[in-house]
Amino acid sequence: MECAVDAQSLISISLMKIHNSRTQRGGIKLHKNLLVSYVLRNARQVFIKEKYAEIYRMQQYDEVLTVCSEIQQLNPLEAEEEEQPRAACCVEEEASAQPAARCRTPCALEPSSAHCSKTTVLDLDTHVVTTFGSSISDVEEVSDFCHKRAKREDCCFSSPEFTDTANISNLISIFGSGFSGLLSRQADLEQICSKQALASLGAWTRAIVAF
Amino acid sequence: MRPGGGSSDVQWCFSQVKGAMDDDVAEADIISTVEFNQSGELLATGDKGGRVVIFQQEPESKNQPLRRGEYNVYSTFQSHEPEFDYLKSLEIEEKINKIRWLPQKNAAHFLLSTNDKTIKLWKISERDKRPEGYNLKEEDGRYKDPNTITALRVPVLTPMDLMVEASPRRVFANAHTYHINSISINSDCETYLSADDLRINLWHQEITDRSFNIVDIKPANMEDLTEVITAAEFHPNQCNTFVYSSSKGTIRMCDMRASALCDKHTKLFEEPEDPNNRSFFSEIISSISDVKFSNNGRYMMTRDYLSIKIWDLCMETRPVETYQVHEYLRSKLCSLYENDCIFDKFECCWNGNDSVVMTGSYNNFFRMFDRGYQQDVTYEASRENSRPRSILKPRKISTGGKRKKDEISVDSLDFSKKIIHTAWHPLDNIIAVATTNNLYIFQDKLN
Repeated sequence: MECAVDAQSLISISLMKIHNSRTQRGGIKLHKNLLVSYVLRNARQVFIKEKYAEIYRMQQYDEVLTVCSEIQQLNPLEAEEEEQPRAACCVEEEASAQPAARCRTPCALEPSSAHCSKTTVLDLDTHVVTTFGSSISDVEEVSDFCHKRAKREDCCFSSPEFTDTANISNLISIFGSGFSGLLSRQADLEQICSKQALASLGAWTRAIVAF
Repeated sequence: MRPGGGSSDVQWCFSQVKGAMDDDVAEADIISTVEFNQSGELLATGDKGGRVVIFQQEPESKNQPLRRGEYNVYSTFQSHEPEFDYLKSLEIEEKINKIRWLPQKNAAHFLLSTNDKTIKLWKISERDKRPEGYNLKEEDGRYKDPNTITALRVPVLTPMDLMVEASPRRVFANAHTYHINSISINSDCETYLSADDLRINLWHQEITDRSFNIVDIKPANMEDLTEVITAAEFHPNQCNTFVYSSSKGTIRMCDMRASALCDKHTKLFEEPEDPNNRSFFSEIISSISDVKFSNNGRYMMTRDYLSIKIWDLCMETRPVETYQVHEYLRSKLCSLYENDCIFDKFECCWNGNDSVVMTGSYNNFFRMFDRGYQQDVTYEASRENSRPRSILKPRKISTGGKRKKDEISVDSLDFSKKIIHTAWHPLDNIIAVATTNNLYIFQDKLN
């Protein structure tokens, strides 16, 4: 009976229900689809929060790498460590269109490379030890997700199907932009991101990085 | 009127079961509504196949004065047929969503039955005499040649076998864009309301070509839709008052004297959500599936997925009583969402003197809550407990780790067996409980 209450699986289950409702006898049930859309909204909120939390962790990881690389630059000795700034820069410039050669270096793309190895960090504020694996590919994923979400919402705003009133045959087009709760999330997320950015500055300047 | 029993002094017994015994249920036989008439003599059921079956209680026999009469089939007719809306390319289901009896005014009985789009007024009348001895017709109905008639006689009414006829007297169509979920007859005996997801219409029982729209919650932009109407009912004795419930868990009371369009409510009944219980499914389980006024008109009862709430009409801020129907399902909501059970729209009902309320659950369980004694009990409707006059044994569900003997664990509940529709005789301790395709009748043990 138990099932994993996982936001992503709830999203896919909900979309499947909406899809199936279009072929059910008696026409689309407005009440049921409205309730399913609430589950979809709730699951999406949780999913986005989780993804942004990941980004936050990635950003903090990058901050650490940047700090490290600056320290290393004061001692320009080992060749391996010179590649670190490349990793950092690859991540930060990932979303930009600059086809810098640096972004094509294998180290940035291969998770198993030594330069993207696990990093253990001790936070002096909380005394929490955290270990980060290489997660550059995760960052790419998240930023793709953000792009896709933005695209879908833009598309839905301009869709002509919203003029239909009685025949709600394409409820999927409503989720991207309709139901005011969905729209309000955008403002919330921007707040979360800015808060995270501010928080990262204070804590991480006091972190010790251990290899 | 016998005292409406609480669980402390009433022993419920099996009386009858109607319907096929097969485990293989034909979809058309699924019962979709159950309703006693005002005297309790007639019990109507509607099914997914668009049929209405009416049972009539036999009069108590003098030989067995302590036994109530049994309910036997009185009339069966096809109320609605499947239709196709060519403009929208939509099939309209023939399933009967609701039946409501009109108060009886003469020998005939009248009821309203509705599917998703069309309401019909049916007249059910008895014929136990027929005229014989026509001058112009033979007994078999063939017309005589007038030239052969030499004498005149007066036709005589002679007894015949009882025939119960159902005929559609009015058809109220084309007034609802969305799916009709409720009909309710006004105490003025002239009008009634019908409610769909977004609108409520007021009809006169005699007039079929027009209705008044009295509530319209459709937003200008459908993208802004946040709630739908889930049920509506007229007050039992104030003909100007009605309530409607929403998918957001609110109930609005409206006064038709205030304005023609009752978009502004007179009262708004709403209980704030408990933030500790917030989950992905909070909106679904707070949606109200049924609302019923008490017989005395001072309270109303609402049913949401996990509970029953009783509201004092004078207090809008919170219900006066809350009863948990199956709280053990709260941790199972995800599975219930996957298998669609979370969308089941359970109904609820009052007993005749408003002291006990009843509702259905899963595993063919149904629950009664005694408001006076503050006791609740769970019974099961099953063929196994169906020996005549066998006393129903209370059932217990074990929620903790250790399961006692005779208890049923939550994980072994059968969610395909659900009791959605229940009805209580208005004057007596007789209840009708519908499982998927069977109708169980229970009554309290006399003497």
